[in-house]
Amino acid sequence: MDLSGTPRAASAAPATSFETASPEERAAILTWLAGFFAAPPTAAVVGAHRRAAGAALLDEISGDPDLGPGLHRMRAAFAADVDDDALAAAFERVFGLLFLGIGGPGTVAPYESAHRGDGRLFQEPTAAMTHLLAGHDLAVAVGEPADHVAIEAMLLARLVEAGHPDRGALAERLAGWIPDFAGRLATRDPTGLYAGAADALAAAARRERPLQTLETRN
Amino acid sequence: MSVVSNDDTRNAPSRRSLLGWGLAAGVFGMAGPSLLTVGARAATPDGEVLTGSHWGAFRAKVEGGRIVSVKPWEKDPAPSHQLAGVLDSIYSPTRIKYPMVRRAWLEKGPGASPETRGTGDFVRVSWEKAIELVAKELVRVEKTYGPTATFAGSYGWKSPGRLHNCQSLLRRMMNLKGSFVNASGDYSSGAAQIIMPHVVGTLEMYEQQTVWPIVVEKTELMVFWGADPVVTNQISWVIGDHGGYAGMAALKAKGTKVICIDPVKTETAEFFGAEWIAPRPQTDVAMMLGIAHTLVVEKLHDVKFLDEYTTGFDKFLPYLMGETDKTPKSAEWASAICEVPADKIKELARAFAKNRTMLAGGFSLQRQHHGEQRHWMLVTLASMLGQIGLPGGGFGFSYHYANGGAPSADAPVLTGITDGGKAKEGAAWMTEAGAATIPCARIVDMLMNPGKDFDFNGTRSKYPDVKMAYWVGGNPFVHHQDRNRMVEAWKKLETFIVQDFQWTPTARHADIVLPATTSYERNDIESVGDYAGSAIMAMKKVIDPVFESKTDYDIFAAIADKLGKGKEFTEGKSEMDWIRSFYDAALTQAKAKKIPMPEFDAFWNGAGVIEFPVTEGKTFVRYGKFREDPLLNPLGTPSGKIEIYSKNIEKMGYDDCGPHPKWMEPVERLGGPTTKYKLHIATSHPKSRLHSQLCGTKLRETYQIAGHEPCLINPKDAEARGIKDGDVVRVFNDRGQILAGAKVTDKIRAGVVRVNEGGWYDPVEAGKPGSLCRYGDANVLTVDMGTSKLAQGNCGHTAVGEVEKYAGPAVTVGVFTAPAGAA
Repeated sequence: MDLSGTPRAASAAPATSFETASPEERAAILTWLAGFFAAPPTAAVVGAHRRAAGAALLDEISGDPDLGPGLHRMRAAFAADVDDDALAAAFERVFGLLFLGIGGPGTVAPYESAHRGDGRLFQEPTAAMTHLLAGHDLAVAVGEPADHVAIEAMLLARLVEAGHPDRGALAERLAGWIPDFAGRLATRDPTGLYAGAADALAAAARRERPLQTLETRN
Repeated sequence: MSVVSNDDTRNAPSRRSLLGWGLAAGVFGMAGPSLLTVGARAATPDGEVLTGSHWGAFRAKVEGGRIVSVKPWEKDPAPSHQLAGVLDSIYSPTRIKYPMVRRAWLEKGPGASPETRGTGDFVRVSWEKAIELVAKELVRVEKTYGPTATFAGSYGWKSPGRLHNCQSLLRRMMNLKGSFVNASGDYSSGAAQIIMPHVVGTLEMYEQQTVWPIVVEKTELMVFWGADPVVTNQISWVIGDHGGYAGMAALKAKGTKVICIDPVKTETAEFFGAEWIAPRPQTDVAMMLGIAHTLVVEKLHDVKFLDEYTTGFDKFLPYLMGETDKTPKSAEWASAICEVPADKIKELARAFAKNRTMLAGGFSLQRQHHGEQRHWMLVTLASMLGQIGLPGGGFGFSYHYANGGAPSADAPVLTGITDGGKAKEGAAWMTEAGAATIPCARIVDMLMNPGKDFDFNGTRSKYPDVKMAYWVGGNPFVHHQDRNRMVEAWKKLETFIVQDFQWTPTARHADIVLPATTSYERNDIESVGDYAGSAIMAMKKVIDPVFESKTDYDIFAAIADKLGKGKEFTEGKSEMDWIRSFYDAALTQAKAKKIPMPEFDAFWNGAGVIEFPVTEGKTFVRYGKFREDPLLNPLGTPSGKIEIYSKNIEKMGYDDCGPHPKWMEPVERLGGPTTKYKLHIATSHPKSRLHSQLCGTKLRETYQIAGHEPCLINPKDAEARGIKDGDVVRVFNDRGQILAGAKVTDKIRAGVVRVNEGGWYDPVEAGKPGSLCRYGDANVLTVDMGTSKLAQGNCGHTAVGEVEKYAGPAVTVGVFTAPAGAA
């Protein structure tokens, strides 16, 4: 099964909540949330999430009972009273402080290793994720360890979309550490964007577990 | 991770997406570059790799391309607990992952909004862009302001390795670019290494001591004065050998009497069960004079030795006896200054004279105002005892540093990459290169006073007008004194480039940050033991570089290439070509000396280490040959003897460093006649760091108190201030303020608190002088002035202040405030 490519365009009917969304739609949401941890949003991305399509979409999704609180926080972050460029700059600065180590002790490392062990990166979760990726004939294409939140979430998206049986275990993995990651961000992310995205991602990962069971039954 | 162009992965949802998530999936999803690729990557082979560090040699276990554990080299006699921090330094969440540029600098140009330095507002750029920015800026500054506008006298404890010597590589690139401002000396022994050539003819700080086996056999009284070798010998400039620990263990086993003179009951004092004498800090010269006076009064000084091996005692004696200033430097006089009872001072004089005594002074003695006087006076005192050059007697200034006294092996010299400047004798890191040179600890003074005259060791020069600085292998935003003065001075730089592997406070204050690998992500070669030289070790790459880090050699080669000097920089050699050339040069020497050494391939592909035997090194006695025949083996001083009175220094006419050692009041001290504050702030070397190295690792959790650097305080001082063990305290003086965690203990004398140097600077408001340092950087509080016009060394142990229980708003170390408009 080739999981490296672009997810297929979904053909399912429009959905109104994560639980009733199709696998393609859930994969898209997971990928979207993962993207906030892959790079800070540019001014163009900020603009898209503040006006018209993006804002309305956040409104729509934030009605989900589990993902809603995180998405509300993201929406509030995008609503800051500055222009797109200034807000993108603020998001970029905080991205560096939180995720790139610039914040020193205030860093919230976006790696599973940092949250499961003693704070070091490149620990057993990195090996496990590298192994999991290799099992699907995949590798990380950028200079990052395989247990980066965005990589784990994006792999989950592919597995969900493909209906692969490994998706449950990976969802379990994410659900096991993202709450801790989100909890730290809740107190250290002054923008709320990353804290909100992490909270929503944690909820989505949790929800993948029962959904997988339901789909298997079907 | 930050994927440079990630718009595509998180593109704006289209209007159609509002109609349903299904239609949105394509634009939400992976239309852009994937973070994943087909096909598994080959990892570094599993196994064990032998390599080395400042903390010793170790074997790293590698699995799946990751280091999973480290264990000390089996031949390390006393492994350091800090090795655990090595693993942390590689895998720290605060590794510098990508080239980064301060936003204002990138968008508005050099010099823009310097007050935003340290606020963490960086933009990621590609390596190509970063190299281009650096090269262009080097050219711009040189063309605009000339060769003395770029400072590359970068100082610090770079990682070991003869090729990836980042400071030599920096200056090698700078020499090819044009020129630069260099720095001389170091922060460790800046005062002593200038005064000692006048006194004994050598730097003295980095030379072999009378070896430990001789000390164990012959020394009857060992005195550690401002030295804590049990703590500081954990580290070495090259790969740590830890040979000093075997010597100390043997000395302890023999039951030799040990005295520790220090305001703190040190680990060394605890180890030996030593007698602890705690004078007021910075008053050591007075105490030494009191001992010297007693020797003369009681006729215990060695007149014959003074006559035969020294000059100028006759000019010093009138000062000692008070004939020149009507102040005899008696034990009673000394006691009033240092607070050690006069009877104890006299007792020490008698004990020193009666026994074969080794006076082991630490570097700390001279990192104080008028620091030159302490080492000069200790040599004078040892001369009066007449035991210099005798087995187990005399003085030693390196028993605490890099395991001085560990017997030297019969080893060839291992060379390394050069910076293109002329090498200086005495210390491997000192060269003469650059269009101008300043004493390294005067950098802030230079920035604050361009064009101003400064004195240095008999010369007078003008400070250059520096606009740009490039720092590698160092952390000046921790190791330099008076942080707030520094923060203000740094605003004068238009561009500050930092190359490192971790987001140190210095990196956070940079304009351009380049991610370097750690030693363990590249190949290199190094000696084991600064003094022992017991082995040459292959420092093989343990793992591939993490994130986007590059080796120092590759970074500077790329910059040189961009400047059109790539071939001159590399000389057409690869990493392994250079390493082989260093080894082969050593091999040539070894063959001439008939020292067995394998060919390079057998060395590198075999055990990766070649050990050398110890023969003559077992019996080395410092100044033994000089004592044996001072005419045939004269010292490098003008007289060929120990100079208690220096005519050269006399000619300089300095008001703060006269022609013989003397007591001079420091600018401030505990109990000083004009000193405002009632507590001295001791800033000793930490037990679980190498200066500031490893502060950014998990090791910090083993010693921090309430999340802060510990502050040792005597129970009497704590009670008087309502401070309890574990309290967060504010330590402050007129220069700044820091938070620390109180450790109430009787292992520190009353009137002194201790905050170890090396704690990472963490201001509440970066870029704002006076801001509270949340973690506990002791150098926020220290004095930034030269030790004297002679040496211009740093005064990192000169600080007084006050301590109070912290009553301000709660702070969390490292927490940052919300960016404007984004909260």
